[in-house]
Amino acid sequence: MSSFFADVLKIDSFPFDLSQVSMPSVTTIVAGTVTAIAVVFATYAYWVFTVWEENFSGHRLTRTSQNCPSNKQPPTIQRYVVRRRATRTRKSHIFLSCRYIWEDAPSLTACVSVAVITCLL
Amino acid sequence: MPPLSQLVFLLPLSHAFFRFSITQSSIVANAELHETFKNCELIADVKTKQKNWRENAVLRERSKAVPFLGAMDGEKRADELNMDHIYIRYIDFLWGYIFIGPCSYFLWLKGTFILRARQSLIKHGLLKYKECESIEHLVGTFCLELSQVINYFAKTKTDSEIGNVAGFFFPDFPYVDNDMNYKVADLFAVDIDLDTKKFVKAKLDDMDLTAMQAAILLYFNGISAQHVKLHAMANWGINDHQSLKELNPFLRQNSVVTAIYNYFGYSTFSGFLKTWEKQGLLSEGWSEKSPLIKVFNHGIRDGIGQHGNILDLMPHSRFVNFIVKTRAIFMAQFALHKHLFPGIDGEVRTVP
Repeated sequence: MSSFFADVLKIDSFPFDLSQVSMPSVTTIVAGTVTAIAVVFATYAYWVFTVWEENFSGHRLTRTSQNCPSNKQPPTIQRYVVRRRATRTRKSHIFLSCRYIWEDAPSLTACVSVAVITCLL
Repeated sequence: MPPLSQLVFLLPLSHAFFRFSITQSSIVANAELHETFKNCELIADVKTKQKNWRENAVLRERSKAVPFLGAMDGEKRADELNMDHIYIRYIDFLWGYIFIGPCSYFLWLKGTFILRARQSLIKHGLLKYKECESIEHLVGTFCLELSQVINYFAKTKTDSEIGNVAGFFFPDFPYVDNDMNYKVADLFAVDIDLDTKKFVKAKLDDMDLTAMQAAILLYFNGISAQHVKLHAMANWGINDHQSLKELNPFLRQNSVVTAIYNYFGYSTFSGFLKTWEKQGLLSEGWSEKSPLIKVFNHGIRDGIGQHGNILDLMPHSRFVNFIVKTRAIFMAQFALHKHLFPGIDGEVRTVP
């Protein structure tokens, strides 16, 4: 088998004898590979940095910051539906007479009760 | 005068009822805009539907987060959900771009390659479309066994002529029309027979829909407006602070993964649409008019409505049955170990 490879390496199409070409040392191969990987990684890391800088650095806050959208307790349904209902009501007079829209507004009694309970607590 | 302990229990009850009745009024008001809903028996049931569950103060207390450096401190609530806003350090971001980004990228590359290959094989007659056995049943599964179940509101009375039918109502329903424009319907309603678990009928404003049309709308809603709510909610269930490296490093790592995935899903996802248009997987206009991001925003802004009435569906849905039963167990365990999960709300981890 080894003679087969020796024959192949000595074929006439090559202008030189491949078997005589000096091979780089293992250290050189390893160093070259590591350098290539390091360059590719550094380029990738730099590109990631530009993406991060564009989208995160100075644009966002951690959850411990008071102005972070998720710093407080999770939102309830109440506020957004009230807002939506108000918009829709302005849009069409049909809702002005709809008892389902207005009857859920807290009554004066309910407001007073909640205030009393809160004071008691 | 009842004792103070009872009054404390009553407060969240009245608050919850307020929210339930608002959802009720939204459905009824939007239905009144369209003639097709005039004779709808389920709308009549929505009008008379009473809240049939009680707020569980114990469960609420168990799920409450341990405040963490000012986060989740106090009773104040955020205005609305937000999917993509959490800051991540560069080193964590880079870690994500090494261990998550490439894997996700190759996953969608593989998925879209298979899609295109299938399209091509079908075009050349080498493969046939797999026929759906029953679209009616598929719509039933979408409504009963997926997160769409939270849109259930009422079912027919026991002696109803139309049978045991449940109504799923989507007020202010976002969709994308044939010209790639973002649209919002006043009301999308789907009726499901609970005995056969099959589609009965569906309406979108003034239109009666077929089972196939309803399936398309439900599927689109599931992957867009509905799906992003869960991603947004997840932001209240993570904590990637440095100090957690010692207390709970696995939680911290998973928190970084969630925050990065939310960034990928919201901020970078739109960038793929142009490629998919060129590949013939999407119609022209998705990238230019950005209707998808508008639907995402609609879903996030709407938040998650109260859905305690899904208890009605326990005998008819394996999904609801499982979630309802495991939720209490999960909360009990969460309460025992929540000191290891500071700044995290237990409830957000059980929303279907």
